[in-house]
Amino acid sequence: MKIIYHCFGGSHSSVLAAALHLDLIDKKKIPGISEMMSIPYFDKTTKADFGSIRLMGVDEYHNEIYVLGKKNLGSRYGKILMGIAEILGVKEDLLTVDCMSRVNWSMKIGGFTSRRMGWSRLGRPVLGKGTEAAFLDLVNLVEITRIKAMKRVQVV
Amino acid sequence: MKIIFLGTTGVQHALIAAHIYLGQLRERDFASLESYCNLSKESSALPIFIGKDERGNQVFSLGVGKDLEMGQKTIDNLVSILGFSSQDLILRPVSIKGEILLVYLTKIPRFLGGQWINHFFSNIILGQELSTIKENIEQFRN
Repeated sequence: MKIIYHCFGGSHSSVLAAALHLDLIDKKKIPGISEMMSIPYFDKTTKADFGSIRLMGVDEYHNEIYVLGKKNLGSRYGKILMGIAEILGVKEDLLTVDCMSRVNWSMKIGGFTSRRMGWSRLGRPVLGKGTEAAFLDLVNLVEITRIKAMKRVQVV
Repeated sequence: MKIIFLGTTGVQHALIAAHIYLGQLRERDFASLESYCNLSKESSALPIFIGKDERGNQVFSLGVGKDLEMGQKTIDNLVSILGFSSQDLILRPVSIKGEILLVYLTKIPRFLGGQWINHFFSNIILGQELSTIKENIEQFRN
């Protein structure tokens, strides 16, 4: 199965969720900004990455985990992707996960300042605080996703 | 094979393009087209099946929102990730003047007369841009 975590920039919440899914970071310990920065793609994407589906890794059940930045297109983008999979006859092979519901204002402001304005020194501390506050919500989202993925595998 | 006409919305210019491709459009009679300006179909975000061409290819229209280029890139990526290629699915972007305005027209709530406003302004914009859509389809056929 392919699992796509998506958020505004494909740079923070979706990357962190994918990293949690892949056990690249410990879900029981809130990471600091330096640990977050060691995650591939975290706070490193550019405008050119919008719309690109990027592979983060493969989990223990052989699910491929991807991240995607979709700007402000909301949950609609996930539906579009599922619709494409459906007409190709592989709907059961795809799971899309919108991370925006777990994103707080600090993450939005910090992420915007760091990635869009290019002021990473100013944006990263705000982003770090926001991400720490949202961490357990993202852990919860990943756990729900893992259960959904397992159920799909069982159904198939 | 599937052919998807991709627009900022799937129920206006992309839908007309798909119908022109299938030879189903009578001159400027957009309102007679099934799903034209259908807001519930648009909000579903699913590809809208229009019909089959003479080769048996399934033809769809789809709206991807304000950033058409990004939508095309994502779907291209997805098709590849799912193990398919351009032999299985062809994306044809349909871009016209006023395409962003068409997106906003689909957002006006029904109780504010959204359906009527949407039809009225869509008919004007699409009537003016019909030749651009027809040219796009001619290029696609060739």
